Amino acid sequence: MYPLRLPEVYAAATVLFFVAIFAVHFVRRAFREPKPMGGRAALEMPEGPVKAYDIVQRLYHWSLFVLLGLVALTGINIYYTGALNFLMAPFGVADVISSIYWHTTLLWLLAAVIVIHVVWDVAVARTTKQILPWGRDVKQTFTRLLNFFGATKDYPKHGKYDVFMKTAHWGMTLCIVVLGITGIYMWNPYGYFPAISPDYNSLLTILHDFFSFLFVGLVIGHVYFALLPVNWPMMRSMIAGTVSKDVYLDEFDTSMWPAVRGHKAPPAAMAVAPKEVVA
Amino acid sequence: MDNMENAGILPGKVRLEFGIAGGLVAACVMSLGVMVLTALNAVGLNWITWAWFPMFGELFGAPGLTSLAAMYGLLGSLLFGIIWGAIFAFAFKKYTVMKGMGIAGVEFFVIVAALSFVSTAEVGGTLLSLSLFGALPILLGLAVALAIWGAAMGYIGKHYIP
Repeated sequence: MYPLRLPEVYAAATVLFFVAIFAVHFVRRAFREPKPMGGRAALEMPEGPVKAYDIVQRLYHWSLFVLLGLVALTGINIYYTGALNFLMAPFGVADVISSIYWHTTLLWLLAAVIVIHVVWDVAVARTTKQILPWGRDVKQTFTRLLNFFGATKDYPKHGKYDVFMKTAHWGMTLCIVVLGITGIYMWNPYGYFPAISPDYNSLLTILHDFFSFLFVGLVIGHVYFALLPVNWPMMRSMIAGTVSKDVYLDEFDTSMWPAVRGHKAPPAAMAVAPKEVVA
Repeated sequence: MDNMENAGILPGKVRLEFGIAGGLVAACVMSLGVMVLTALNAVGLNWITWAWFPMFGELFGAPGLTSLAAMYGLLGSLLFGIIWGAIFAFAFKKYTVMKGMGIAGVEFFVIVAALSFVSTAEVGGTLLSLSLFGALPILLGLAVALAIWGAAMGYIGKHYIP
């Protein structure tokens, strides 16, 4: 026999686990001030900013921000039985029933935006390679963990996304898949699924709750890393669409994130050190 | 293009993209602001007693006091932000917070004009049917929300556009 919902203590523990990790990261970063190793990349490229996100990518990022934000808020309002009604008042949401309406109706918009995201990135922008995990990401994980625990002073340069960003992206994807399957099975909007036993319903509810709070933890991480000053250029690019040439050459492994399609950039190991270090 | 950049004039494509993306982000910031400002009701500061999004949705033809109106209002306010973002992007050579607030002022008058002639359930009629003191909280709430949009838009233009 399962409990009806995920107990609140587990929900809080899941979120606090993430918050604790980010707090440790923040303190460690403030004291050690790590920097990307390798210096400026020796790469001949035209003047001007480097394209990071096209307009469609920026639009669906911010659309996901709105939709996932509202789905999460209404979800938390359902879980804590109306505790966030005061925050949902501008939407005319005054009770749990309205929250359920918003929580379920927004899913169709969310599904549409996710389909656009997948089709655009896979077939049009062709940026899948940048977010897929590769063998060298495993190696980088160890190097970065060594840096995190103080064994090295600096951390290796990465492509457009480092291994933790990739993990967060695929973690969120997993959460959304599980939440989608369990949510639609419980909601059963068109009556396609057979009736489920109370025990099975509880299991689905607990899974739905757990992955919801896991998702909230990952989103907190996403926002935390976006707001870290070192990542401001990338956050800026999610509005302006570009990063400066200096940031691109100084902060990123240009072989893992070629700015010009078809351009063969030297790997980070071949990059020259900054002038002041050479001198 | 080089000559245009040298002269400090952004190319049309950059402006359009800034207007669209910046307008959407500013609309997100405004929506968060509206949520926080309305949430102040919970601590006793009852200054926004009407639901922003259902009221906005009614201007787009949705039936009042329904979740559908709120959905229309949400999508409408994001779209409104994008359109006015594009107008802002093309209206000025250089962007500042004050210029953003200026465009928001124009938006304010457009919405007030609409509310003056379109009857909404949240307002309880049209703005013209209310007394000055009855309309004041609505005008104040609108002004503050749109000022947030304008400030966000101007800030993005000033600090985020290369």
